[in-house]
Amino acid sequence: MIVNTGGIPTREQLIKQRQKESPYWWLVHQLGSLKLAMFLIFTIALAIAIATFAESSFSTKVAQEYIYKAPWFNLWLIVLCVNLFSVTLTRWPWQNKHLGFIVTHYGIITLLVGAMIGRIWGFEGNVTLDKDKPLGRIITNRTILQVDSPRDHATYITDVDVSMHPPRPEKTVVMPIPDSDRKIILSDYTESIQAQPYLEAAIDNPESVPGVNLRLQSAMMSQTFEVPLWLKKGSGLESYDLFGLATLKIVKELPTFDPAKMIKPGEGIPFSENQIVFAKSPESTVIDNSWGKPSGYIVTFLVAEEGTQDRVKIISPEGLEKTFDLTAKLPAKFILEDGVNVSVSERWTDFAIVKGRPGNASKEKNNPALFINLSGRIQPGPRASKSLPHPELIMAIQPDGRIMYMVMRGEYVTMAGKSTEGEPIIPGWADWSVTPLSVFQKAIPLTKNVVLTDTQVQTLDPKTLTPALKASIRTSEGQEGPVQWIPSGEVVTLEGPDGSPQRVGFGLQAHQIPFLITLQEFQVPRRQGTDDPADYISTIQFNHLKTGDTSIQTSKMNHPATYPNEWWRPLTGLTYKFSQAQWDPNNLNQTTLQVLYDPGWFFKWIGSLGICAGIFIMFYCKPYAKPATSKNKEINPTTDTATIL
Amino acid sequence: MMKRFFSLLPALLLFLPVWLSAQVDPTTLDGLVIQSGGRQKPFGVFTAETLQSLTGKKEFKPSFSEKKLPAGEVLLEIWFNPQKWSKEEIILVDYQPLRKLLGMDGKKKLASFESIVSNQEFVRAFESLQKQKRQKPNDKLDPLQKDVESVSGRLHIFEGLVSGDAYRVIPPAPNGSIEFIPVQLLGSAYQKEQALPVAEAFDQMRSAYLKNDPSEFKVAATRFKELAGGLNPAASISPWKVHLENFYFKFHPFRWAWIAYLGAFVSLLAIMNQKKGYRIAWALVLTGLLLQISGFVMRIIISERAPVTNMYETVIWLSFGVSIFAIILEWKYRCRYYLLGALPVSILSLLLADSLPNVLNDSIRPLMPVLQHNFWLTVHVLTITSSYAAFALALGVAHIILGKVLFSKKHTIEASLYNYLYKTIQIGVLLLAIGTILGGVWANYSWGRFWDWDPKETWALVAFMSYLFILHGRIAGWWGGFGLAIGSVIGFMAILMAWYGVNFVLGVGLHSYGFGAGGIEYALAFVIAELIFAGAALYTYTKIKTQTRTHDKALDAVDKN
Repeated sequence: MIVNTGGIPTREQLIKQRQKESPYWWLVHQLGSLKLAMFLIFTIALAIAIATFAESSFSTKVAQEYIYKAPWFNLWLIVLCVNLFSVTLTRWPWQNKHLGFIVTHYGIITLLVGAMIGRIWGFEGNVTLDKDKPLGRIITNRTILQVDSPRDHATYITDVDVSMHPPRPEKTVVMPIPDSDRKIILSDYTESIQAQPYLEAAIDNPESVPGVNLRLQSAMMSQTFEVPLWLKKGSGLESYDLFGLATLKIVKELPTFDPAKMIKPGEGIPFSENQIVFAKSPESTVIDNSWGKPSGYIVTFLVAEEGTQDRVKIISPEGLEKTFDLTAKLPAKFILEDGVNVSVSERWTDFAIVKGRPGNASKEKNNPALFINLSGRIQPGPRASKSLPHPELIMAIQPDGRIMYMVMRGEYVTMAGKSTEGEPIIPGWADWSVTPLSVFQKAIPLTKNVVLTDTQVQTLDPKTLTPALKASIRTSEGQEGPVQWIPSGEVVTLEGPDGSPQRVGFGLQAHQIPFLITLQEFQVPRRQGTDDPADYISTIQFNHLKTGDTSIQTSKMNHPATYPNEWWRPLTGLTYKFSQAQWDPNNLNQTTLQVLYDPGWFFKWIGSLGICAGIFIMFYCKPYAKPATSKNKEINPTTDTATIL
Repeated sequence: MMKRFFSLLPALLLFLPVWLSAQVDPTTLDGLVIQSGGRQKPFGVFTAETLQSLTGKKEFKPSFSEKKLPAGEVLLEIWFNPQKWSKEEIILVDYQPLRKLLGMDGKKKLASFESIVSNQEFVRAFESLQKQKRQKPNDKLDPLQKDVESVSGRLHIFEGLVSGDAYRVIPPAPNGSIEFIPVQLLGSAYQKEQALPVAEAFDQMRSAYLKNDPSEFKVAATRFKELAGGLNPAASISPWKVHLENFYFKFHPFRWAWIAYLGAFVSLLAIMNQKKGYRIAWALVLTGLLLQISGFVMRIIISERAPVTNMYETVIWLSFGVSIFAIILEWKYRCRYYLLGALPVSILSLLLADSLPNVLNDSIRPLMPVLQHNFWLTVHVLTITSSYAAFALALGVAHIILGKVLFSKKHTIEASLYNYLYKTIQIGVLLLAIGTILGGVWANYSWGRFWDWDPKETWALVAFMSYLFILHGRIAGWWGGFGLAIGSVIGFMAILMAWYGVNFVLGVGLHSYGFGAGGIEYALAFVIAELIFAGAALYTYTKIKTQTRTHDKALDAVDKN
């Protein structure tokens, strides 16, 4: 250290002195200390390294909540910015050699500032566009509770956590109501709520017609649920499809009962089926069955080589196989093991339609075929049931409040009887029971929110499931009002214990945008010769609501559409980016785009540029680089004491 | 000794043609163009890659043969004689528990197609896996499920071979399609006049093969090649490309490169301080570099893209980067240290790339259409892998320093050596900063998000911060050049994590038994070895320093007295 005995202190002296003299400078030097920087670098690196393991072991959400988006982590980053800024001050007055150092460190600060701006003022969302249907809102990924203030009816929005710590009856979540000392109690959360219809008596309502609330129950399938049947045409409630197994219907009057069509228990359903079977193309069998759908018996005509008999092979719906030799004599009659009669009445060597009727085109065995009739009864069995007519339970409400019913299969009746409220009907489909709970002569349908059971959820398409929060109002005295489910996307009026209304909404926050988006065209070109998508191309029209500007753009994979798209917007980030997110292979008139708005982008890339340029200057620009370290000494433990390297 | 050899030679030559002509030569078909894996390639490459993916090796010993057959022969056998193959044990099953499930013998790794598809438990496992993938596509698979998936992929390949469907050697009809078709679909794509000669040529080739008549096979195969290609010459890639790929495949430029580097390393060590050794080393290093360059040029022409798509390509690029940086720095400083440090790294990485085909897959696959001709992908990946190369070179140089501390009797390290290490780290830091940021810029351009803490991004940042930590510690005076050396080792562990660990360690999950896939034992062994090495050097260094200090204190005491 060179000490000037003159008057002007050296730079080193200046720096040392000001720390002693001024508390501000002392603070600056503390905040900008290398020790602090090293500590921050180490801890931040360690934290994010651990976060990647947390992400892989648990989920991205866990890593985000506990580390990347946690308040302490962001505080750390702020402290880092303070440290970076302070360290540049500690080198004041700056010299040429500090250029790279300054640019890099300010670059990092700028980058982090950009990240913060993006977090606060930017957002991320999705928009599902249907062809030619303009939208002006984007659904963000932010789950919120929307509460009306009782004082001025302004709407307040607050985040609500339903993924990491959803409200549960044993651990309720309390949300404040602005301008009020009352609170909203969230006592449960479900991923799958459904608005289900039910009937209620409505004597004076002109719309009301007869109906019944039924309970359907099966222990084997562990299902219990309620279903209304309502006699109004076109309401959608006149029939109910029980998992595709059977249909329940309500009618004004039961069809006339024909005793000949009554099937006793244990009897099979009668059928008579004609088939034309081709030896050379078994898949082209022509079938005509009395039920209107094939009986399920598969007939194969096996033409023999020279010297052996032609044969007929029949496989029943249950899988029983039988092969018969076919002699020249027709009609040939056989009986199958299950009692079904088979009759071969015609045989062609070269089947063709000759003069409008089935006949032989030649004597060559070019297209051998048979005309076969199968008739008998088919028992409902595990495999046969598919070929039998669809089972139905048909009910009619009598004026005395009783229900008359018939269980039918096609035109055949397997069961008939009467029932009243509380009396279960056992139609004979597995162990299902159908119990009328309430019978109405005049009723209208209402809806109530019902949480679906796990078994019910499994049968449904996940996209149709709606989440919901269970909420109630609690006063400051501790009194609680009635509990209600708030399905996602809805605003519900909760009642306080005194009956006063409180509007509460739940769902994903929607962000209004200043323009309309319309999907004009969605194309999914495939890789040559396969069904695999090669790209996803959405042609979108944007209409600015204020300026009237119109723009048509395409969004493809790796090439998002941006709007508004003046030249300076992509540079500053003040634009919306629409990138391809999801599609529904069954609906090519719809596409889902991810929307990103990042006003921090400008600072991010300026900062990044600064970091890279600064490093380059520090390392390679001679006049601006720090001088090569003078601490270069050999170590030779036996002779040299200098050890700093 | 030599005399005897030379006298035997004419006799050998006499026998050689006889021996050769006793066998049908599958390499006749090497130049046949076949479409597989999304691109056209030579038949010889197809056979090797297919057998590799089925069995894990490039040779196979079927039950009816006494010795191992090369891939070309095996695939011809299956093509011309498919019937008996469903019982051949040719499907690789990697995962030990799955082998148990299939009832395979303890040591065996290969099972037959029949035994797998008739195994009820396998079928059930497969079906439940399909169900899970449909209903919960984002759920991670456990190691058993992953192997079920791999095995079913191999079954699919096998079915394609046995049915003939995989042998797509007939060019598409000139109607716009770009799909090659197997021989059995000749009739549906071409008119009788065109299709018949080709079908006949195929039959002749097949019967010649089954008769094991080499000369007839050669004639028939050549004829078939010509006729098949002649159906639609515009649809096939140029013949010179086919020859190029065959040459690339057989020549193994990257293998010769590490052999050259090995020679350079040996001569550098053996004749260390003499000019001659240095010159020979230079010559061999440049030869190795030229081989690598030629390898890349060929690979780029064949694949029509930069080498940026899989682990294998990053490994050979890293080796290339290490060599380039070392050569440039060595040229500048002529210190020998760069070559000495770089060569083991280059040799090791090329050696790994050459010997672990199941982990580092060298087959050339086309990119997804949306990633083709993607500027950002190429620039970003090459910058990052170049930074890995710089840090790998730093590791090599650090090894020299640590080695000197541990083993050199004089314990002298020139200051300039520390400086060389520092220069190398600088290159790495700059490239890693640029590369990581390019990744963010690409992400922002392509889908609007600059940074979202993806594990790969995060680990690149961790590695960057590790080197920052090391450099800043030196500025703080906490450590000097030796600290840089230790830091280079530790920093490279972070690089390994970003480069390899994110895919093979995080992807597998910490609590699973997936070890064994992806060569993770090798990686772990490497990491442990490095840490032990660095730890030993650190221990020795500290010992020397304390000894020096006490020695100095004693001297001072003596002086004072």
